[in-house]
Parts: sequence; structure tokens; C-alpha cells
Amino acid sequence: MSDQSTFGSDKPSPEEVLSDALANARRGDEAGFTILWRHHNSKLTRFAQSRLVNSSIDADEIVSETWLNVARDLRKFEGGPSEFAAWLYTIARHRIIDAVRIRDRQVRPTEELEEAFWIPSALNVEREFAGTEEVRRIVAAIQKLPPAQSEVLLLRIVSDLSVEETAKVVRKNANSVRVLAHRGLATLRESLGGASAHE
Amino acid sequence: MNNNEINSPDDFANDPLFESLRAFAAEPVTARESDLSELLVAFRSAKPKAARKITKGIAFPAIFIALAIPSLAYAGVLPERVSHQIEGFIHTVSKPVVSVAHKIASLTTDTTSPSSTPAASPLPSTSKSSDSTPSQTPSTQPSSEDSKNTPTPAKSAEPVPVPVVKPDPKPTHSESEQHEKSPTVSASRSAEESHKAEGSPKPLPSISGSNKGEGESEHSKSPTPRPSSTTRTESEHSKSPSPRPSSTSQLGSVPGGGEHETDD
Repeated sequence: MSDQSTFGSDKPSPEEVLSDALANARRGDEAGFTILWRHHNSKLTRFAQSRLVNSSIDADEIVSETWLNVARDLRKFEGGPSEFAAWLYTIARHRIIDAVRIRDRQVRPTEELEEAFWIPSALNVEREFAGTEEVRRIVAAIQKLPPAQSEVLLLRIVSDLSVEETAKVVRKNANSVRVLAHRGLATLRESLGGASAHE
Repeated sequence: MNNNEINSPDDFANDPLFESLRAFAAEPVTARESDLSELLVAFRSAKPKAARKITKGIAFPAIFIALAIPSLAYAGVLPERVSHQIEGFIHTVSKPVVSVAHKIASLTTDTTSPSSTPAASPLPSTSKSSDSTPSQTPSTQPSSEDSKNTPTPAKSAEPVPVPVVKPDPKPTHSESEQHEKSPTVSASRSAEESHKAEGSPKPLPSISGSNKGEGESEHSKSPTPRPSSTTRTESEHSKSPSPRPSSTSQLGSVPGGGEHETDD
């Protein structure tokens, strides 16, 4: 990247592209919004799927709601691409928390009722996880960690956020995020057969 | 919180344990273009919504305040100091508005019906037609010169005696209306009539009491007509002269003419 800037290459860096797209989108440019969506949508969807594995909540719905929120409030947003990523994942996190709360408030039908009246509702249908068996095993192990640790690890590994961005999303300082990630990793290595991993 | 934990490198970036998870995260999601188009629609409609929100947030409270504060000031809910200031402000604001409205109203009435309104401004004419109080409509009361010129006996300025009314078995409708409207006026009128009928200063209750006394008794709810009651009404009239011209003018405008006709 430094070579490109030194030699005055015409091709802008991904950071510059994202920055320009964000600035244009804030002014109401749809092309800028599309660039942002294409860049972040896959990782955001993977993050939601990882968080909501073995859950009845639809991850795609969470992602759609998140982007709708972004589309509505993007003109009020202030900051660069890094702040935008943190903002995007913060919205997604809040949507997930809300969805989990709503699901927990609803009354689940008993097994007898489910057998008597088989209703394919969102309550009794668990979503298919798109990953392989290995991925499913790792995600299941991450879900067994304390919520703060699992959240930090998913943001760091799946969403590829930096420590500072993760700290903004989970509303903690950077040192707390580092500690949470370190402890979560240690626990995860033990549970997934850390001896082989260390080798 | 150890320093080792804080300063430990993020070794999961190259950890083979998370290789499959990283590959899963890097996989592109089969994004539907319909989702993007819906999002773009929402993105497009976000701007007018924001403008509408700002308009609602500013305009409605402003209108509410503009309506609420003057009404509170007039109701006396606000402190006197504040209400005085608000009333002064309203007066200063309303003066030019009212003057402009007057001009517009006069222009419109001049253009629509110039022959019907004798005065330049239409507002006195409207007050003439609607009001009956003498203080607000001084032009309706005819002066002495007018009374000389005009045949109708509208005598309000000077205490002209009301002509004698013969005991008419059929009182006119307008008279009965006047009696119903102002009983005190009718009483004073009956006293004056009795004076006129006698031509002497001493009122005779027998003449006026035959018919008019009954009328008095009906209005004042006293069963028997007495001369003392008529003198009392006279003294009341002498005490309060201000409503008298209006009453006489009222009498003289429509029913008074009828009385003259009866005399003739």
C-alpha cells in the first residue's frame, strides 16, 4: 500500500474506496451505500449466523433490520470506515439482543402440543447452520464460553474487527477486550483439544 | 487482569484451530439483489422522512405555544407581569393586522355593494345594523335638527313628552314586543302617558290605570296599580338618565310612529 502511494498509482486502496463510499453515502449517494453493503454484508451475516447458531431466530432477518437501520440513519453518522464498522456491528448486536429477549418472552408450546399440532413456526424450527461440521463444532464451543468472551471472539475472528473496533461494539475498553479474548482462547483451546493445536 | 493477558499477541489470526472458522467467515454470502433494492428504497426515502420529522418537531410545538400562551395570559393563569407583557405584545402585533384587515374589508365591500353603504368604512354600518346600545352607535340617535327634518318622531335628545295613547284594545305587535323586552321603559312610558293625558302635573291613576296599569302590573308583577308606583318609576328615571334616550329612541323608531298614526 505504501508502494502504491509512493509511486502515485491511480488505483485507490480499499480503505480509500470505503472512505469515499461512506462520504458519498452520507450525502445520499446510492452507489456509495451499495459499496458499503457489498463490503460488509457477508461478514455481518456470518457474525449473525455464528451468534444465533442452534437458535430459532432468523439471522438474515437480523441482518436486514440492521441494514434498514443503517439506511435510515446513515446521514446522521459521523466518522470514518472503522467507526462505521463498529456502528454497524453495534446495531446488529442490539438487534440480536432484542430478538433474544422477544423470543424468551414468548411461551413455547409443550412437546405434547408440538406433537399434536405440528406447526412450522419460528419457535419450533431451528435454523440450518451453513457451515461445515468442523465449523459447527468450533462455534458450539465458542457459544459455551461466557457471553462476553464468546462475543469478543466472534467479533475478532468472524467479523475481523480490530481490538479498538470490538471495544466500541461491546462498550468496553481495549484492554478488557484483549483480556476477554485471551481468556476465551485459552478455554477454547482446552475444549477443542488444545494440545494438538499447540503442536 | 494480568499484563500477560493484555500484552498477549492475537495468535488466533494464524492459529490452525480456527482455520475452518476463518474460511467460513470469508465465504461470500449469496446476497439477494432484492434485499439491496429494498434497502435502497429505504435509503432514498430516509431524507424526506427526516425533513418531515424536523418540520413536525418544530412547527407543531411553535403553533401550540403561539396558541397556548396568549390564551393562558387572557385566562389569568400566568403571572400578571408576564401576562401584561404578552397582552402588550399582542396589541402591538394585532394593530397592523387589524388595520390591514379593515382596509381589505372596506375594499371588498366597496367593490361589492357601494350603494348600500353610505359611509366609506363598512364597519360603522355593520355596527348600526347589529348594535342597539347608544354609546356604540351615536349616529343612529337623531339630533334635534334631524327630528325637525324627518317626519318620524324620534326625540331622544330633549325630553319631549310622548303623545297620549288612547286605551287601545289591540296593541300593536311591536309595542307588545317592546313591553316584553323592557318593563322599566314601559312603566316610565305609562307614567309619561298619564301626564300627557291629564295635561296636569298630577297623575291620575284612574285614567292610565285602566289599561296601562294592568300592563304595568303584568310587567312589574304587582297586582294593583298604584300612583305611588308610577311616581317611583319617575324618580328612577330622573336618577338614571342615560338609558332613557335609548329607550325613547327605541320607542320612537318603530312603535312611536305607530302612536302618532293612532293620534292622527
